[in-house]
Amino acid sequence: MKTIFVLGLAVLIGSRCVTQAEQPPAQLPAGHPPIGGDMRGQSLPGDVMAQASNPQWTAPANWKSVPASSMRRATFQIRNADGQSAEVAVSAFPGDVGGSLANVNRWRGQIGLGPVTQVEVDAMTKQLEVPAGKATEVEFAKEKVRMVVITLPHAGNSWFFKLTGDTAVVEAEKSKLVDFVKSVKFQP
Amino acid sequence: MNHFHWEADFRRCYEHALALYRSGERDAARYFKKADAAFLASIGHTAQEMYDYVEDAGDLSYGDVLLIASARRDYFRVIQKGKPTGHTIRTADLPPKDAAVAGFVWLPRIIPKARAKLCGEMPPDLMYGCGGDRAFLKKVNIHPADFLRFVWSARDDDQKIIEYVKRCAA
Repeated sequence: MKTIFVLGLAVLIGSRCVTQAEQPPAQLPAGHPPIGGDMRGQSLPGDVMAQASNPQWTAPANWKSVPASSMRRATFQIRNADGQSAEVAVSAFPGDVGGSLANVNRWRGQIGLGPVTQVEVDAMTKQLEVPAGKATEVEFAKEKVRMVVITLPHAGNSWFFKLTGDTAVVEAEKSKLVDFVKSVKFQP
Repeated sequence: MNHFHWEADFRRCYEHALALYRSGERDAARYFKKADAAFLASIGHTAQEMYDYVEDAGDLSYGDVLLIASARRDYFRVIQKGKPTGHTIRTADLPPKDAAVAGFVWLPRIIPKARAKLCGEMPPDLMYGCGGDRAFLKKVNIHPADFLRFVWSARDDDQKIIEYVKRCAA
């Protein structure tokens, strides 16, 4: 008797599951994800960082584009004939990211330099006119490492174009960095 | 991998880590055996992240941690197809803690942190949902997991995130 009851229950449950699986509702509410199947074909919001909407730009032929982390819009690697190297990192953050003093001291810290004052930051900052707007450029070095950063404010964001690496490479590529920023065209 | 039971496996790992932390173990690398480490990796989680969450168990409940881990797991499986990016961001590259936008201190910092968390690119010394994040998110009335999912949906549109924060804080 117990066996018959269990079997009967299994048939009932089984038939109910099969019925539901084979006959999904004719219409799902608007925006409802598909029922059934695995997640591989599911469309969830945002292919996000993989499809960042970067502005248009033209990079020099010797800059090798490599996959960027979530915090960067682009990364380029540069190597000269002597095996010396540098990297161009493009990033964008909302607002002024703490202002020029905080930014310059953060970048200086990245190559082991101590902080400077706002007066010193102002003195080392060069103004640049580029098609996308008014940019600023700062440059500093420690031993054999040199860094050039161009900041371009746009639509409430700060875009940073940072060239860092061996002094010889950075010196050779600096004018190309400026040309690269001049090539930036933001989408309307 | 049994995805139907992933929450139960995650809870077991969490409770194991919490017990170890309370017993005085402070080396995250010794928290999980191979099978559990593999399970965590399969959902885009690290032992260090679990350590950080049990360390802050007084301020983040298991439910909070699960919701955060679930957002990261979804992103890992759906967008990254279960493959790590191989990148780790540098804490020193983040906007400073006192940077502000639209009057919100911390917002410029937490946006790239949330992106790094979604992508599994957090360095060991950085925690999504740390005290600073919690203070900010509490102030603007957003759950840490909800913020993650909004950052996901906003793609790279920071202005959309700023408007979302403004609406939530109003």
